[in-house]
Order: sequence, then structure tokens, then C-alpha cells
Amino acid sequence: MRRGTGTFLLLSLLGCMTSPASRSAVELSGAEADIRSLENEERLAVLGRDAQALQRLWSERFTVNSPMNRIAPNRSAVLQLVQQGLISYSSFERRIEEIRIDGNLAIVMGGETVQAAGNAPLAGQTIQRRFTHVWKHEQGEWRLIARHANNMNASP
Amino acid sequence: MTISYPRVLALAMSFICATLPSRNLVAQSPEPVVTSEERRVLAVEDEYVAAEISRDEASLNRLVDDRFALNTNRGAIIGKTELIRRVLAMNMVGQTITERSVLVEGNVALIFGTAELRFARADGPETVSTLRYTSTFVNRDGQWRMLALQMQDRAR
Repeated sequence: MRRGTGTFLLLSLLGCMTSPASRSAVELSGAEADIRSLENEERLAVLGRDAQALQRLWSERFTVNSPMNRIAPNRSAVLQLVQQGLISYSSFERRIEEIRIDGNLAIVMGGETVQAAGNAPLAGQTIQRRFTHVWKHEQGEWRLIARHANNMNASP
Repeated sequence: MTISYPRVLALAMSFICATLPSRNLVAQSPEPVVTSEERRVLAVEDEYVAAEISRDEASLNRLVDDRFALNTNRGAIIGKTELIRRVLAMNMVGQTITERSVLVEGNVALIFGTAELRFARADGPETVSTLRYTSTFVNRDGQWRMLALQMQDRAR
């Protein structure tokens, strides 16, 4: 009985490995894993104000609709804000609630808790945010092309 | 078909704003050139706005992608069915879009802007809600459809 079950599981596994539908499911979860990993890299790069990493992760046309009612229209503009300390955090947590992969496109939604620092607005306060990220796969790489973030509240 | 004054106004404002450069950029950038594809995406968003105001369920179904996600300000993510249910239950009488800019990246388009929503009240004057938003559109078989949306009260 146990042997029969084992054989069945093995055959099922082999079947999964060769069926096109399951292959796409594996690819999908692979893309999701990639995006999760990139989201974490991006969070750490923002926290560490690592311009080199951000240059790699953000598309040249990376656009941000910021909590301060402003649009930063490209990567250079956002990097400038990082360099000026206007995007600066002493802690940065991100909770991914939804990842939707759609071909060469990935939409990520969730919440963030940041402790603003430096010259950033609300410096010294803990801020809860909602965010949406749009990633695009181009030339073999996922790059972040847009971010919308808004503050839910700020507390000292 | 009767077109209400607020709807005409909202559409006219949308058209005017679509042809104006964004006034709220962090960095100075050359005056944006609106391409024909950008115009097409903006026209789809205008259709969506009109469908919201007229509670046109068929148009909403056509313009919103089946994989749509809305990142709400209350910390929840909702899909197409719930979005349309909420829109149909609203008493919105007008919508004006300003500060709108658009970015088309192949099969993906992003629109950033401010929407002033006006709602009827049975016991008093209209209420107005001013929101910052980013909407993501995807092109499927030549048709642009709204895939994601995040909006929140415009910060003061």
C-alpha cells in the first residue's frame, strides 16, 4: 500500500514535470520568487542609499508618484532625492500582499513601515504606507518602472 | 444619449489636461510630447471616468482587465468584480482630472494624476474628494485595459 502510494506520487511528480500547464506554473512561481527577491534588494538599497544598486534595479524611466503629491519623472530625479537625503530611512519594512505576474509585467502591492530620517519629510516619525510597484521584464532583467506610495498615518 | 454637464466638463478637463505638461514635476524635464499611443491610453482612461460617472457596467467590464487589482487606502486589495460593485453603488456626479502625465513602455502604460470626485448628497450640497492616483494599463490584442490602481486623499 505504502509502495503503491509512493509510486503514484512519483508518477504524479514526473507528470507534473512534463506537463505544459505545470511547467508554466513552475515558471510563474519562479518569476514570483525573482520579484520577491528583487523587492527585498530594492528595499535594502533604498535603506542603504546604495545608488549603484538602485541604478541597476530601477529603469531609466522609473517614475514615482510620491506621498508628497509629487511626480519624480525618471531615475535621475529619484536618485537626486536619495542623494539629497530627501529619501532617507533609519528602518524600512515592506510587507508584500499581492504579486501578479502578467507576462513581462509584474504588479506588487502591499504595505510599508518606515522610520523617516535625514532631510526626509516627517523625519523621526514612523510612517505606515501603502505602495504599488510595477516591474517590467526587458532584455533579460526585471526593472522597476513605477512606484506609487502614500502615507496612511505618521506617528512620533 | 444625454450627456450631463458634469460629465462633459470632466471629459473636457481631462482632454485639456492631457494636452498640458505636468505642472508638478520634481525635476525640470523637456515639455512632454504626447504620442499617439499615449493619447489612446488617455482616451481609455477618459472612457473609464465617463463609465464611472454614468455607472455604465458594460463599459466598466470592457475597460477593466480581468486581473485588475486596486490597492485601497484602508489596507486591502480588491479585484475587478468588487471594484465594479463599488462603482455602481457610488453616487458620483462628476470627476475632473488634473496634473495628469502618462508613460507608455511597450505593452504597459502608467497614468499619474489628480482626480477631483464630486458626490451627490440627499441632504445637502455635493461633497468633493481630491485624490492622487496612479493607474496601470496593459495592452492586450491592441486594447488598453486598466490592470492596477492606487489612489489616496491628496496630502495638504
